[in-house]
Amino acid sequence: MADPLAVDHWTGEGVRLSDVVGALADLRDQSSDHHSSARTAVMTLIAVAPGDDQAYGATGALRSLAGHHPARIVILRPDPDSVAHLDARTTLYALDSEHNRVNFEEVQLEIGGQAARHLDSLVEAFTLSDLPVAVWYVNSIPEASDPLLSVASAILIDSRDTPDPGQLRSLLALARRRTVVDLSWSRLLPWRETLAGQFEPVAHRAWLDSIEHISICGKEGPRRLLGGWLTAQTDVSPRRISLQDSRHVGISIVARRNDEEATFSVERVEGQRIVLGEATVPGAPVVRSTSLLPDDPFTTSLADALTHLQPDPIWERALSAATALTD
Amino acid sequence: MSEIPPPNPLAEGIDATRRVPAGVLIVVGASGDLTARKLLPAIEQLSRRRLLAHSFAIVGVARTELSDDGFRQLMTDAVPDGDAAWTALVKQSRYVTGDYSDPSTFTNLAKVITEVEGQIGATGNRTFYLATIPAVFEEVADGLGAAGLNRPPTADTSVRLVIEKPFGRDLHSARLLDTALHRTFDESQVYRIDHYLGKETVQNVLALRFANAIFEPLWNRSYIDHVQITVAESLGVEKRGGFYETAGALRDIVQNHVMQVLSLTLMEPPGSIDAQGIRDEKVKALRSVVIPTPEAVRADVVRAQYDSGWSEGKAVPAYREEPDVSPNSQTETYVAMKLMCDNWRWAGVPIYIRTGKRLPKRLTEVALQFHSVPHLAFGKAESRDLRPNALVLRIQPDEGVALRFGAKVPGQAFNVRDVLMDMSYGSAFMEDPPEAYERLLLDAMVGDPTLFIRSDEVDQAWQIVDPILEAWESRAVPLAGYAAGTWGPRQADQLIERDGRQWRTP
Repeated sequence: MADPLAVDHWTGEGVRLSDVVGALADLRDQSSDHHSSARTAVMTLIAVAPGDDQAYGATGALRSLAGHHPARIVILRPDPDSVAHLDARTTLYALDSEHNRVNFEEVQLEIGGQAARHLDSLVEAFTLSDLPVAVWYVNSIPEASDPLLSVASAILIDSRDTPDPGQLRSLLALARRRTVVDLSWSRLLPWRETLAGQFEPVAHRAWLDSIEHISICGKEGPRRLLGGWLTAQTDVSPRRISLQDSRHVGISIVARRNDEEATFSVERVEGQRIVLGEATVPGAPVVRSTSLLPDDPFTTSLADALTHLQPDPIWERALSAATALTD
Repeated sequence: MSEIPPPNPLAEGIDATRRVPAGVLIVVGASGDLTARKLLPAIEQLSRRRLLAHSFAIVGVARTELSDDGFRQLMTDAVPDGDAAWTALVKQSRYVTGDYSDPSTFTNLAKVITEVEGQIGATGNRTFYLATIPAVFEEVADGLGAAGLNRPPTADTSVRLVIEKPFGRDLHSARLLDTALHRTFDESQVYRIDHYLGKETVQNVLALRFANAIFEPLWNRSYIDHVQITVAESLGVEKRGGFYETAGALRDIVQNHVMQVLSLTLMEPPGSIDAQGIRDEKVKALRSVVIPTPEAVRADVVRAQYDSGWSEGKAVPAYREEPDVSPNSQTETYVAMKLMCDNWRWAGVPIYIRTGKRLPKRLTEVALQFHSVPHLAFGKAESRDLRPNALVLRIQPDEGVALRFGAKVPGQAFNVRDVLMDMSYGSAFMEDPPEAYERLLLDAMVGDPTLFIRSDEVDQAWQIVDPILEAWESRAVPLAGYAAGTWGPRQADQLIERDGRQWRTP
């Protein structure tokens, strides 16, 4: 499928909210002039992205999801420390497939001053009625008192951005009150699946009771989250888990029983989008597995998160256990 | 009593309900066209979507002499752009050469399966896919049974047998086939594929009916005047003349595809959208369809064959001039019929069905035509363009739902005319749905039989179709002709027009 094309846009600096709403209505009318175009949506997607890079990355990722999650996109760029102002850009996009063209709108708002602390009062004008509202905090986690949380059906965050135990505890507290979906958790799915797959043979499962040591490498957020997951799911003492810094995520489990050793490992192949699993159990052939990583893991995790906008108790347990882990 | 294995704690929370468990797929007829064209690409897609267990392998079986490496090459040729996971899967695949009538073929197969399972760490989930001609289904099932491959080796594993339509040539042969399969496999192990049910839009009939409260109250005789089901092909028989001569439109389309769509349209809401709930209701719906008597076949069924004509801007030959078709062929390429359904919901609502080759376009749709308004308050002239409401479920192509209703024409006068509110699934969700084979293979391997046809469904469908076949064999119903590129013979129009109705022009 092709990338969405900007059909038309409107920009305004120092505008009122009603100007933006009016401009959006004009663009909507215009889309109805395209007789072969359809308008449809399954949710409103809001991204809170204060910085330029964050906003650029977020808009690109959200636009690319239009085929599977047709939505109105609202990008919020709050700057409470600047003078009060509202700059806006509304854009009508068209996404073409072989048979269909779908239009969707994107609204970008740069909000300066105190209004940046009350984003809920701005976005309600743009949320689509009767549909879920997913709010994605790009590279941050929201304060518990953030009023924008009141409009969110689900909150998307990335625990990679909040790796230290204190931040993880804040995230956990938030997750206990709201539906929180962690993009990092989605991105780690191939590792989790591959490791879980190594214990599908019933004979391998007994080794989970005899884990001697678990070694997890990766960046701080992912390695801590995986460590929490393994602690929570296998009841292994955190003392038996070591975490090391590394560019790519890898997991190695050593289990010992009756003087025999079994190893289970999952690692990414350097330079390739492949995760390799290997289980070596005494008296059995080495079992290897290969999983392909998505070409664009970020967008894939976002799409996955938007498909499952619901609490994940396993992630919450992993997060809770991760707060007790030390490098 | 066997011990229940401990759960895998690391799999908790990972959605494995739609993921193939550790096991082996055994493709019987692995050197054939269906395997290369449909099955292997579907498996590669499942692998690409990470829906296969890590401990998963394919074992091919066929008469064609091939080595393991030869089969691996065949797999690579079938999916030349497969990714690294596919390459790994190809590497651990095996092949067994043998005749299906030779018991040693299956003892060899059992040995190879055990070896493969040892290598990949699988413990006995086995899916046998019979990608063979139907004539050898029985032989293969018996061979698998004799080698002990029809039963799972452990209590926590499963063995399944997947077969493709046609399931018999008539009621008698279908029952014989079932008896033969049930000698070695329980009904719960048999997965009968009609790839039509793997189509996303056929499944959408269920979603439309049972996920929405607005349609179901209208879905009955109080509001619906009649139902029209159209399965139209613009192509002729192409290179399938030899096959088609033994089948015809009734066996090829009506007995299976049409009956599936019909049962989904007529069925009562199931208690739950699961295999038993849906299949029980489908069978109940088919049981309510009135079995045609010989008189009803003569009056309510039209059979026809295409003559030469023009199709999509090209002059095309008559059916009898197609390759591998007898010049005196009596095989029907078109069927139109009226069925009735005797139950509380549908009594008195005629169901008109038409299917054929060389019709003006390729499409499948179900149209529910509502009753006219009890009193039309508008003047005749102002409402001359107004017809009764219709709800159309388009199954292919351009899958979607359309509702026809009356609206005022802008202007000073109060003219009303039909407008179509047209929803296309493709414009709501632009991503391509999985191919039918991909979906059905996955379902078979995870043990979800919802979209497969149960023995009693096959039997009931044949009970409806069999009297028609018998009447035709006695030459009680003449074979009409229609020009290629038209909507069928005049007799089909008369069939519906005598009830004061008309075929839709889709």
